[in-house]
Amino acid sequence: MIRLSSQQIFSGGINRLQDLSAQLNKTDEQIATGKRVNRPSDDPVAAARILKLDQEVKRIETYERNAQLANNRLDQEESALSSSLDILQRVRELTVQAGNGSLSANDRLSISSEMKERLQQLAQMANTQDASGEYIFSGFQGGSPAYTKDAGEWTYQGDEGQRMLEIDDGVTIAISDNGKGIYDRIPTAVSGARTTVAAGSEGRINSVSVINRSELQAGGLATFKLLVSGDPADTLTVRGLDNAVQRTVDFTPGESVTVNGVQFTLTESTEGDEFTLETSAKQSVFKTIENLISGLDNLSKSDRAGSDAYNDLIAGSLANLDNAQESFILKQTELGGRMNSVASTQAFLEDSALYSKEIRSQLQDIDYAEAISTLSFQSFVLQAAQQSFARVSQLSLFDRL
Amino acid sequence: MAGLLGIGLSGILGHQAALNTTANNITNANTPGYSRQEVQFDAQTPQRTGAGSIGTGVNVENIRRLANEYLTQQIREDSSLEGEQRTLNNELSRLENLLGGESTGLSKPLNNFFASLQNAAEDPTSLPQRQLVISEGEQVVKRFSALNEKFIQQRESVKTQMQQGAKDANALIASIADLNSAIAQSPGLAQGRMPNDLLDQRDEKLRQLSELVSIKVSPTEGAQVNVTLNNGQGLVIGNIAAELGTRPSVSDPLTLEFTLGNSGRIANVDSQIDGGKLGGLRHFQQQALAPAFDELGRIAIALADTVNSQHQMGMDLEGELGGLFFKDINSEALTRNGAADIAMQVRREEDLAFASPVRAASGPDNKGTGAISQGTMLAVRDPIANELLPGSTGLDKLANEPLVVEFSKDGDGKLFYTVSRKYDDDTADDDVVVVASTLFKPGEGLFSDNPSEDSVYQGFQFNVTGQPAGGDSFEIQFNTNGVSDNRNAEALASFGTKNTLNNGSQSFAEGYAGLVANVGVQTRQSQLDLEAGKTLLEQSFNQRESVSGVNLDQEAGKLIQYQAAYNASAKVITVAQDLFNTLLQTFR
Repeated sequence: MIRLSSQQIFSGGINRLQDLSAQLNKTDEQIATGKRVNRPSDDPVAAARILKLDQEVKRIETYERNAQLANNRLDQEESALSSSLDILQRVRELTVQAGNGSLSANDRLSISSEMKERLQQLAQMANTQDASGEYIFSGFQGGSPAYTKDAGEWTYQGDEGQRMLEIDDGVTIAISDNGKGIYDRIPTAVSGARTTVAAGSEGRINSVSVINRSELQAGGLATFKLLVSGDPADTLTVRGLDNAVQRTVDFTPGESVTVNGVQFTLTESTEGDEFTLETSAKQSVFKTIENLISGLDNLSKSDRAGSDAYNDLIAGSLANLDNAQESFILKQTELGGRMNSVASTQAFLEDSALYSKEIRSQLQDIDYAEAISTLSFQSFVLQAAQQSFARVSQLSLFDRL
Repeated sequence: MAGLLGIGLSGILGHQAALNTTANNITNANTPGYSRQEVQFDAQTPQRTGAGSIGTGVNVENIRRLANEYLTQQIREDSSLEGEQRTLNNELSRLENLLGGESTGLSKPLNNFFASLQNAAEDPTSLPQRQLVISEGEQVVKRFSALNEKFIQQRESVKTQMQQGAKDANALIASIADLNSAIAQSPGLAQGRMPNDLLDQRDEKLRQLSELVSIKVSPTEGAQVNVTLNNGQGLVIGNIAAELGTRPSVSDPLTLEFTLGNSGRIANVDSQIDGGKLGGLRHFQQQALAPAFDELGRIAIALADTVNSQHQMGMDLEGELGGLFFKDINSEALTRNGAADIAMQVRREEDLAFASPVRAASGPDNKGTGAISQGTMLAVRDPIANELLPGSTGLDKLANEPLVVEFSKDGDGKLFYTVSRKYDDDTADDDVVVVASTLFKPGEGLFSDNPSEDSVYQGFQFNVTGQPAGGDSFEIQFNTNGVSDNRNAEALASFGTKNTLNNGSQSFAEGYAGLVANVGVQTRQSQLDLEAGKTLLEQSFNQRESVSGVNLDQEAGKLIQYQAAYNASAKVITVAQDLFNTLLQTFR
């Protein structure tokens, strides 16, 4: 038999009661805060993971915000581009109109004056600013307009910078495009020009067009020179930029001739004239329209040469405008792709936010049903302990003396 | 008859003593450390007669103290253990509340800081966004210093407790020495009559001392005890008391170490203070607080250093190279001061370097499909000399500007490139060749990544993708007016998740979470240890109580028992008197 001292009966009872109320208090705290883990020592492993998940949730929120902002920026760029496309469409219509042979000089002037307006409008689109006043097509130099008028020509002032934004871990998306890639570097239609003039020659090259692109590519020369010889002129020596002779071709002045897949007509040329065919030059859409305007304003259709030049200008410009249109549409497609990818990232972020929060809740939050049943059980035990302590502590032999 | 009177009297006296002892037990039922006593009766030397011996009454042989030295020792050991764990648990809980709290921890400000950088990257020219980055940075700094301040407070509180604990221990040590001498001088010792109450007092003092520090108690002559620390350094030798003290530690003057002064000589006993409250404090200081200090400082230094070096590789809103973001604290010698020393260096929104100082453009007459990247900064400063690298000598331009990358084809159609510095007058002999003709590999860096490779290393890197044509060129220059560039902001924001700590295995937030988890684990462990210690202490307390404790019911029973015997003894005297009377009347 174990001997118990009176002190033991009391202190033991009180210790038990203290333990029980400490447990009860802990359950109470868990219910009040709704959290199972209130301090790291409650569950050190879970606590470290909770910190990590807190960070994760915060990061996802940031990414969600970024994705939203990226979307806004892409939207703005897209709308600027589609307006540009509308303008370009109108310019194209005007160009087609201008090609009508029955137009008077005054008609051409009125077309050109509308075109000047459209050009201004297009420049405005290229100089679109965002909410904080940055020019969105200027690359890194958003502080200054993408295009300014310099000696009558709209020239690009920005750089090739592109702003990237992280919208998820390791997922960055371009949220801007530089004007150079959209408005500036547009492939031009193949063009021919007389580069060396024989004395007294009136030679000119017209109706230049690519009729066989694969042949042109097979030739491997983007630019080639044609030296006229023969009297009357009937032979062309084809040379590359490095003056290496490629071959010679016979031709009849005034009739079309094809070299390396490029068709053109030479008229009134004499021996010693040299023409250069440029097949891969690039030109800004502004330059294309500016050329058109200057042609409409200045070219006189009174003689054959003027008329040929005018027709070439219209044909070339149409091709250039088509190329510009293609460039815009290409960018639009790209933007669409980016928006898609933003949207799918957003969906993914939403899912992972939900998932992270769920895991965090599993680690951190209490199961109320369990906690409340624990609480009622603990308070029951405490009550019982209190009652039994009160009973036991009353027992004393001295009461019977 | 006189014998009968004597016998009755001895019974009365003996039971009076027994009743007194019982009463003493009853009144001391709640005295800490009291051991119950009982009277040991012994029959008096009998009177020999021809018929045999006739008893002569009772004698109180001894007042016995019911104590078990083994159990007392057990209590002392368990008290030391429990005292240590209780102190450790108290201090650790405080530390973990500080670190783990949502409103006091570092996680939130860190997360907010990197989130603000992410947001600013979206709109790098926006001054409000920049302002937010600065104020979130300030929050991080503030939280570091607040945590550091709390750590210091706790360190000071531990020091105060150590000093107080040493004083308490000294008071106990002195009174144990006094009790030793009182016990040695107590009369009757030689006859084996122990000064029971003094022994109880001394055991209680020893128990209290063992709550402060773990001790060894060994009995010595004259019922005295010698008290030593675990390794044998004497605290009490006979009636001589040593003095426990504290002084600033030699290895870390900001903390204390324990000393023991004995007849004028002061020795360092820090490593021998083990167990008990003092041991717990020492343990906490060395194994929890100091590492926490270091870890926090390490995070602060790593954060400042990482952000600074990236920030310096950037270009601010006014087109100058980035300065320091945080104050440069890497030069400070002590890791633990990192958290105290971290401070903001950037004050103006415009000085935040969110752009990258380089950019590239393709030449106007390029024919190929090659595209050049906008470039990545590797460094602007030589880490050893801490000077600007040759590639970027100016604050607002590159040393070799513009650098032109030119592509050319050789006879076999292979593509080569050269990088050279072009001058305006465009005479070839003026050009400074930076990278001599090199075979082009699409997507590979144009320059070297290796700082030791002279001019081929420029501190930045570009690459060309796609297929450039011969004659194509690209131009690399300083990112003048590049206000919309966010490359450096993105790079800065990436540190929020990049593993930069511990040889690239942890991010800053993870590093901090590791610190919290460490303290959490220690606290958890100390909670379990405390539970165990409590249980052990309670068990040994119960064991001691079951031997030495006073049970009032038992004492009540004894009271009745002794009272009855007392009454009976009195009756014996009455009988003796009656007998005497009877005898007297016979002769009347």
